Amino acid sequence: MYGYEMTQKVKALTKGELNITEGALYPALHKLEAEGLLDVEVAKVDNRLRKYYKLTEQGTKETVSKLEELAEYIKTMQSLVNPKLA
Amino acid sequence: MNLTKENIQFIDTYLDNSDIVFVDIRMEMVDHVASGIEAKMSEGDTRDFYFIFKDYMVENKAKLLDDNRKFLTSADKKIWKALLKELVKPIMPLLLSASFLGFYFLHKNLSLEIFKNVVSVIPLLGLIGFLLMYVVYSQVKQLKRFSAVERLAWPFFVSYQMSVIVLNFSKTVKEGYATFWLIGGLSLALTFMLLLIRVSLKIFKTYNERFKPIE
Repeated sequence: MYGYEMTQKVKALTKGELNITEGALYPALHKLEAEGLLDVEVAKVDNRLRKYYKLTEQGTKETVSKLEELAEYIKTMQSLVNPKLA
Repeated sequence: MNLTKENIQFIDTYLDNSDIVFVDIRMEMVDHVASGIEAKMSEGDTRDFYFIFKDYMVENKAKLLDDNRKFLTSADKKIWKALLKELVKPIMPLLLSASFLGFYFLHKNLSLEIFKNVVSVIPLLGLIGFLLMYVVYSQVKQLKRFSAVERLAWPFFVSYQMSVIVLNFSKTVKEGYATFWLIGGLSLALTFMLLLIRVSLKIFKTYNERFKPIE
């Protein structure tokens, strides 16, 4: 996926609730690339160069772990806010 | 609707004039801006490209410039991380031992004053190494200005300062135990410099492989 595509996908998936700006997205992508969690490929598309990102093996493992952490966090918050749901 | 080559060139020149000088950062911004403008055109905006572009930049220029600043921090991080990785590889103790033995051999075969004169060229080695690589890649291989490539100048400056500190210390060294500290310090500085040259070569190679075939 490339940067602009990600912003549009997030917008579509959240029905416009979440709008990622380029000032937030690209620094995050570059940070993840520097940490070796994302791999990059450059291709020429429509008269310009486009940078495609994909998860590395380490990135995929990290995603699973972060999602588990997030689920656990949400569960904890639910038990605090509404003990019946937990 | 796709933008023309001239439209893309216009965006690129505009961003270049806005101090986004490194190609690897700018190309991603050009694509983002162009995609945004194309989306507006597809949604039915029939105005001329320049008017849509102007409105887009009024709205987003500050964010793009902020991205540029943060990208440079990531580029620095990438370099230092690569260098740290090299420092824990088996090549590090090998280079350190070889440098130590080389300096020790020199010291044993030369008088202390001549030895100090010979090793005084060490700080220049790293700078010459970096300049040579930069000239080869920018002039001979025709690579454009890339962020991590030019940000390498900072760690090279650090390695230069490291060896200058060791050489300043050498002025106070007389024959005896202190010469071992001098040889140790020189070996560390030289090893750091050689590892930095190794990291630089890898970074130059990555950019060459990533961008050269599609320029």
